[in-house]
Amino acid sequence: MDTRWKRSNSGSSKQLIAFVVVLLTNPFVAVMLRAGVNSFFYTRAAGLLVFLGCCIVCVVCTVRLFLRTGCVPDSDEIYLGEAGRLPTDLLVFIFLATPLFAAAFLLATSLYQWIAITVVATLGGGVMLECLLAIARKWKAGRLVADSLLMRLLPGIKRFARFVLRGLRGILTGENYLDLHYQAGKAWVHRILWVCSAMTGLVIASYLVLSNQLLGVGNARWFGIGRYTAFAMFAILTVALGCGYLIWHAYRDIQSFDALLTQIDIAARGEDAPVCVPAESSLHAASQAVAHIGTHLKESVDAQMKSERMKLDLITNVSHDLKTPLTSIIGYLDLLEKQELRPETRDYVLILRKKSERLAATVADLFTLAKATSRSETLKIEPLDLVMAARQTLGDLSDSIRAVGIPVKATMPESAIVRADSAKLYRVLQNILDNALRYSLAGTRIYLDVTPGDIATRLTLTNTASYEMTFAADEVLQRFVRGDASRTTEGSGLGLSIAQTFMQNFGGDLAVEVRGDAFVVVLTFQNEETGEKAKNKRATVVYSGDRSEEVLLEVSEWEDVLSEEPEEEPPAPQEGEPPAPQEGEPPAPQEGEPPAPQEGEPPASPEEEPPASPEEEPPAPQERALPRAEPVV
Amino acid sequence: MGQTTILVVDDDREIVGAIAKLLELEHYTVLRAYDGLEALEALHTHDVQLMILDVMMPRMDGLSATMQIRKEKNVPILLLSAKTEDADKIAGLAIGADDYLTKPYNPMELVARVNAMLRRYLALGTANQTTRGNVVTLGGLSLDLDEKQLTVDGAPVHLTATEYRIVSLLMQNPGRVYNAEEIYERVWNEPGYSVENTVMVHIRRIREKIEINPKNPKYLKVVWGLGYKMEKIQ
Repeated sequence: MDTRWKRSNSGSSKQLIAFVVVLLTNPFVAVMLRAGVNSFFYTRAAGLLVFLGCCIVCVVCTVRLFLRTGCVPDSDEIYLGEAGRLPTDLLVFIFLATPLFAAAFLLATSLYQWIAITVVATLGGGVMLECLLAIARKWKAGRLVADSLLMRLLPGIKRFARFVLRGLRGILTGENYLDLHYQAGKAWVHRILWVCSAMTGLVIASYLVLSNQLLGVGNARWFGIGRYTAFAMFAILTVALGCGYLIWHAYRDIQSFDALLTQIDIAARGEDAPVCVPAESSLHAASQAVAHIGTHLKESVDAQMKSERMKLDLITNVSHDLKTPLTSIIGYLDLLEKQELRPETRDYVLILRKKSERLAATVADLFTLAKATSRSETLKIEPLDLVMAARQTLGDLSDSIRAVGIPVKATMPESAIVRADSAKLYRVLQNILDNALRYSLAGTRIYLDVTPGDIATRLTLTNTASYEMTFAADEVLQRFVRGDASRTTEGSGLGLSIAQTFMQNFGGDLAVEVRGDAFVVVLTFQNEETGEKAKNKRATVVYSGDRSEEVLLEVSEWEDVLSEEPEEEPPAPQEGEPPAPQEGEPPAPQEGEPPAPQEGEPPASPEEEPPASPEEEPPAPQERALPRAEPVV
Repeated sequence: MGQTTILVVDDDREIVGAIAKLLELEHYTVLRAYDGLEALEALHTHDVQLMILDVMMPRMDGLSATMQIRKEKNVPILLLSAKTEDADKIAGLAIGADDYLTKPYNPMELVARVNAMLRRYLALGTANQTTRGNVVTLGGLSLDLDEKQLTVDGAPVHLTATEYRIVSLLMQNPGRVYNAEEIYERVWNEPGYSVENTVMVHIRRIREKIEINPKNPKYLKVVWGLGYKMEKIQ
């Protein structure tokens, strides 16, 4: 920018000189000079000479000015200058207005001396000259028209003109000129603008007509109505008609809008939603679009259902194709077993039998998992008592507990209502208990803990592993991963995966933690909203399987009676019981202990002689319900 | 007693062969058919005491065949199928089958069920003449309230007094779920605390006595988390 200024500056100093010269020698000045010289020299010739000289100089300088204005040395650019930035129209206006303004100024200030006139004329001339030069520069730069205000306003003017013409055509021919498909709102803006301008126009026109005496209306009264009354009536009528038209359109559009909303609602439900808006309404296209959406949605929902059904059919068919040969294998192996066989052959047959049964179990597990994850099973989720289910499962598994010899210490409240499916809940509990029994180190215990909460209830199962667990917790939840990496023992590796899927289908979850040698499974259940607050009183019962049920009954009865009165000292159970603690001591964790949540292992192992009881039925429990007061030493 | 004839129907020839051999070892006469139409023909031409019917067969499947058979005859039908869904079992039993066994099955269980069904079928045939009052029947179970005797598929079963009371309570209210406290109160006649274990053990003992497969009970069912019930069977 600096260099340009410099360059044009060097040229512009000459221009400046020329400019000043032109100003000084312009015809007005020349005339004045001639008059002055004439009066000074008393000769017409001198004056004439000066006059001519001035004129020539003026013309030469003007020509030079105009030729060189705006030219930048060594370049084709045209330097527009400050004045050149103004739009052409403005320059023309200034050019025309300056003499008027100057004259007005002189008149107003009453300065009629020739010095004043000259000065004003010179200044005005300067401005006018500069304007002309700016115009010349613009012309040279080819931007004479482009820079004008008119050009800048032209697009807006064109749009407005188009708008007006379209509107007129629409009104005259009645067609829906508002080609606005999805812009019912904009259509309304146009409509209101049109009606308002029409009303205003009519009112003004009528006023002009009625109040104009020239058109012969005069002061005549028609049918006894004066001009101004007539005007008022006409104005009111116009406004009423305009508003009426708008209201009528509004009513129709509101109906279409409501119909469209209903259609959208139907489409949102995935059903077929046909077009419900009349073709003339501006919402018609939107209605068609919604109908399209509805159809597409229904089609995609149908497609998804079809794919689910195909998946289910696939599972069923493959299931059948796997189970049929297995059936034959097991059937013929059974027949083989019934025949006369050499001991070696019998062994082989037994092995085959065992393996094929294991294969059948794995196939069954696989399909349980597939069905559970495909969500095509209908679950019956209802409020169930988790504590009752746990007790039932422990009772059901008491044979296994007895065989393995690992007692289960269960700490549970009286009841805990959760949401689950009955049969699947059994499978989950049976699965995790089975795992615990199978993989526990001999001589340890399994701990089952039910902790009710405000929204969720947790069941925690902890056992000590009989082998080193080298896997991460979430690895074992993967399908087919077995804790036993060599996969020789029983089990398909799907159990925990199935249990987790079932838990998730209930709206809960299954998590596994490995802490050193302790394997912890945490089941989280959704609570059933009963409005009662969670019962926190819990009791601990030991399930060993080798106890006869009378003892279990006693022990568990105790727990509950004790849990009501935790202040009472723990009474002695039966003969053979390790000595009960003194009063005042915190109760030692025996079997008959108050409901404190278990943290570590109990010091006393739950050994106790079962009372000899020959009858099969348990005797009436009343005799043993009341705890004895004095401790047995 | 004449020869008991059993009709075995399955589209897989090897399975039919295995079952036939198995039943022949139990001294039954076995007829073979390989789809529903052949089964119907065999029924018309022979006197059959029991049918073992596969569900998925060409030409006419097991369920349609059952419907056809039930229009004319009352022969006991055991459905054998790879479909293990509860819905399939319920559908099969509703159409008119008497029992449902899923593949792959334990052959010993199959034999036990066949024996039980035959016993019941033949026993019912004779027991109809001696109708005493006050007998509650549920499927193959028949509880005589006067004699305080339970008969399972025709064979009497010995129950202890408590077991009898439990069975009686559940059989007279089939389909209703009782939790352990309710059972205890009604059977021992007094309120009990924490009686889940006692009741569970008794239920297990009863199941071992009356069910063919205690792991898969047909009558006395545990509704986990809610209680116990006796299934309502016609």
